[in-house]
Order: sequence, then structure tokens, then C-alpha cells
Amino acid sequence: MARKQVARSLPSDWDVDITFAVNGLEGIEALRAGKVEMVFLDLTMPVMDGYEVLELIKQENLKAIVIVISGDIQPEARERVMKLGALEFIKKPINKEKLQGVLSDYGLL
Amino acid sequence: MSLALPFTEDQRDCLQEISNVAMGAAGEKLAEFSNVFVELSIPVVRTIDLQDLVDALVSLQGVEAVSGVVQPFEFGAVSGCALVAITESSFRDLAQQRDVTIENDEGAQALLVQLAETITHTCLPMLAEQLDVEAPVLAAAEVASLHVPLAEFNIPQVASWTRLNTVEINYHLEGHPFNCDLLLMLPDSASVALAAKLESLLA
Repeated sequence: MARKQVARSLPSDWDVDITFAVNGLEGIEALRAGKVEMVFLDLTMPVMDGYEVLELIKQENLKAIVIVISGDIQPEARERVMKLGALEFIKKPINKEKLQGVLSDYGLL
Repeated sequence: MSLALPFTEDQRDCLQEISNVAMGAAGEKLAEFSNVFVELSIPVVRTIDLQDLVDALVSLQGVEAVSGVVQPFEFGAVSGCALVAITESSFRDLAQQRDVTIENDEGAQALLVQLAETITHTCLPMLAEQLDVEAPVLAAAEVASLHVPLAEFNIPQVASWTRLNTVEINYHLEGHPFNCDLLLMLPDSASVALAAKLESLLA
């Protein structure tokens, strides 16, 4: 549901391919395969969580814009992911306005 | 033992996701309350027989004694109970963080109720908001058990239920022994109404 909500919140005129990953490891594998330019990353996930994904992206120097979308709204969670290289942190629940607001703030629309 | 859920896989996933958001909002309050970063895990949706309720308190298994507070709630036609349960070592850890004593029952009960309300008074309204129902009517939280072995853990508010749907949520304080379980409990009689609500969110 979280993945679908994000997909539905993307601009409808965006001509992009979307790859869904059910956990952090699948996400990293898609990144390593060079299939990804932008990541919408959850923090609380099975197998490998969002923090570990961010660390690996940094460590392996994988090129992608990462926007964290999480229900963990502790200010420290935001600080930690920003330090790990995330572009922005969006609080769940996600919707079109929030997501497109961030994309437009960063000139990504 | 877990039973078959009265939900489709999409409905279960939806309940898990909205619980995740509600637990996160409450986690922020718990972080403020304890002054420690809270580690969140993934909520687990299960259907169990009442007699297996104690087994659902996963993080509390195998410990010396536990304490718990029950917060009854009503989401429109659906009424349920939230249980906040913690172990003795968690209880002492929290008391230290809050700089209060739990040596006497009065102090212990006051801290327990504060802990429970910190979590449920954010989690339950957040859940209602996402379910698109009116903010829940919250009765006062009640201490259900104080320093008792898990096997003797008693929750009178749900004693008349035979089967229930639960959402298990665990909160851990980073670098601390503190572990606490939040168990959202809904009677089986509410399953149809809840499933319909979840379905409407998925539409």
C-alpha cells in the first residue's frame, strides 16, 4: 500500500519506469543494477532498513536522488537520514501535494 | 497460534501500513517522554484466540514480571482496547529516565498510565484519522496488571471476547533495556466492519 500510495502521488505526466522493492535489499539490488535515478525510501522495512540502504548507497557511491518517506517522524530520524545523504524527508501519510511540493522545491518536476 | 485473518492480503497490508504511521507518530511522543531515540519495528497483524493473547506479547516472553495498562477506545461502531505492556527492567529504565520512583504502587501506576497515554493518545487518533472515522472517544487508561508473571497477566476488558484481531507494535529505546509492546485489540465481531473500512481506503 505504501508503495502504491507513492506511485499514485507522482506527477501523472511523468514518463518514468517504476521499480518496486519490497525491502531494502531489493532496493539496493535495483540501484546496483543501475536501473534507478530516484529512490523513494521507507525507513521501517524487513531484511534491510532505510538507514542501512542509505549507508550502502554512500559506501558504494551509488548515484541516486533519495527522498525518504517515513512514518518515523522523530526529528532525530530526519537528522540522521539527512546526514546519510537523503535529499529530503517526507512524513507519512504521503499524498500528491506533499510529494509534488518537494519535487518542485528541488526543481525535479 | 495465529489463525486465518478475516482480511484479504491487501486489507492486511493496509492495516499494517496505517498502523505503521500511527505507531510512528506515537513513537515521536515516546521519544519526547523518555528523552531517548525510539527504534520502531514493523507492526504485525494477527488473529488469535483469547487464550493465546499472552503469547502475542512477543517481546515480553521469558521475562520475570510485566505490568500493563489498558486503554479502551471506540472508532465509530468498532470498539476495542489498546494494551501497553512492559517488563520490570523496562519499567525501572523508564523510571530512571523520567527521574521518578516506582518503589511504591502509586508511583508505579502513575508512570504506567503516563506511558500508556503518551502512546495511545497519539496512536489511536492517528489511526482513526487514516481510517477516516471520527476521533475516538477515549476512556481513561486503566492499570490492568502490576508486576505480575506473564502467565498471570489479566486483561478483564477483553475477557468476554473469544477471538480477536491484534496489531502488535514494539517500541525499543535505543541503547536502553527498555522494550514495550503496544497491542491493539479488536474483537472478532468488528472484523466485517473493519474489513469494509480498509477496503474503502484501498479503492
